[in-house]
Amino acid sequence: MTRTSRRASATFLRAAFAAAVIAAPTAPAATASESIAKADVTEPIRAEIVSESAALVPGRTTAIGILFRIEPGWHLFWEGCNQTGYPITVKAQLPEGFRALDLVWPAPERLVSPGEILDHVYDDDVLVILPVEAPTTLDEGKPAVFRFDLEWVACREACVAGDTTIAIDLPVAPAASAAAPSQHTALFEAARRRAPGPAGGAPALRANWAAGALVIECAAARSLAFLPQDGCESLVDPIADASTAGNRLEVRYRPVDGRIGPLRGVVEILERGRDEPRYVSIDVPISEDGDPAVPAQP
Amino acid sequence: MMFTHRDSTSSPFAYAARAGFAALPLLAAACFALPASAGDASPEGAAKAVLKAEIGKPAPDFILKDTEGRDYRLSDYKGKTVVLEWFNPECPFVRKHHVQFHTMADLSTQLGKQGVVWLAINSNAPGKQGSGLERNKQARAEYKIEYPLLLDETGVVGRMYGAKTTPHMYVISPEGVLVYRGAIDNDPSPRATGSTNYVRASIAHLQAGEKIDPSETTSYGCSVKYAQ
Repeated sequence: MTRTSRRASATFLRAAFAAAVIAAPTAPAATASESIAKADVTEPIRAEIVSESAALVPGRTTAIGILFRIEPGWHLFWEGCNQTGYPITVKAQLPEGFRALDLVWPAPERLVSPGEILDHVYDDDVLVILPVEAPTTLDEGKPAVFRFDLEWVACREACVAGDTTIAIDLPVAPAASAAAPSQHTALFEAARRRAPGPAGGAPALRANWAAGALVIECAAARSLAFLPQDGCESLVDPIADASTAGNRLEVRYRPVDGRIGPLRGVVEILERGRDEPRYVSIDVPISEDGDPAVPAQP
Repeated sequence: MMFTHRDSTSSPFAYAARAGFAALPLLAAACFALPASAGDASPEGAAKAVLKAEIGKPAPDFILKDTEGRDYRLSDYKGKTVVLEWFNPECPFVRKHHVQFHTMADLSTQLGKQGVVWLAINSNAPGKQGSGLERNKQARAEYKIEYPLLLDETGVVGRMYGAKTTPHMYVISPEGVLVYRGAIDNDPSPRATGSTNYVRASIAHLQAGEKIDPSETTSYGCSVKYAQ
């Protein structure tokens, strides 16, 4: 098996988690006030729920994290194009009045197995973030309970299916108070660095359709990679086309049953002078006649 | 369902030419990784050098032994619709369709009554999960599989077809043309079956003389455990 080398970030996430634990070496067993839920112990994966804030504040957004701790040698699957496995699924049951925003998925690793099999996986601890908006009317004396139904397939050579339901209850702070950070903030920061975000902060990028290929250009890049999320059947050669040691990448697509795409995915940009890649989501629209429209700019 | 089997000493060239199936892959498969070129004798090299399965093109022919030691040649079924199912008895997605649900048994029985031939193929390499004659004989009995289970331990046939998952499904028309490849259905989770069975739908389209849509879907399941 071959993997792309983005080990630095993944290692950082593990280090961040270790730091979070080390920071409170004498802490008693996890409690709600520590913003960590009771851990599930389904091997080879252990799932936990953590919160970025120690308490909820009425009317404010709080980030809740689903932390998958992965035994060495095993991997979980991203939600994008995979040729095997099954992506992590997260279903949240929120307390009344709360609103869930979009899940934030860190960028995965590419895994190429014998038989030219391409998957996008997490092979180190991964934190999936769910931002939730609290209602303005919250009872300060009553903790809010967030419940998550999780499902996954973990593979090494063999694969095992796993699922669990776990919950976290968070205390409510007074309205208009500052949201105190929990001991897990480093985990959230590390996960966000690996997650595609709005273009702000990332270098300028162009993604266009030209001559049967999605052409991605980024003048500031010394390498580019594309992690496709949609239109998986239309990809001509996702292994060969997915990365380049340059600033221009062509990802070829072909029509399947008269359709191409959708051309949606995450671009990994390694800029000159930077050691850590940045990630941008792109979604090149498809016109009614089946041809991808041009141009698209994230 | 009745299945025929044949003596593997027959000439693959002569038979493939007669049947109209793609002939060159037959040589590679029948000879079990016969070097396709002087420079690359690996199963992957052999598969790369020959035709690959493509929608709308003749399905590459092959000969494989089943768990009972009988030879099966794809081109023997010229004139019949053929379903190929990639198989690994230990894979939770395979178990979903064979044990939790009876997707494969029910559909193969139903289609068998219409003259459709169903063949399972295990391309896992020796020593890898779900490989080996005894384990597959046992699994065929345990899962009550009534159709042949063919062993492709070199992975030549699996690579020719681009089989990536277990299950990975292929439908071949009576003319020997590959008309569908992909998932069995539209629920890739390990614990539920989908509302649309793509194999059933593609054969219904084929029998009605209609365009097969979708002709390709993303298969799902465990990876086929090829040798390095």
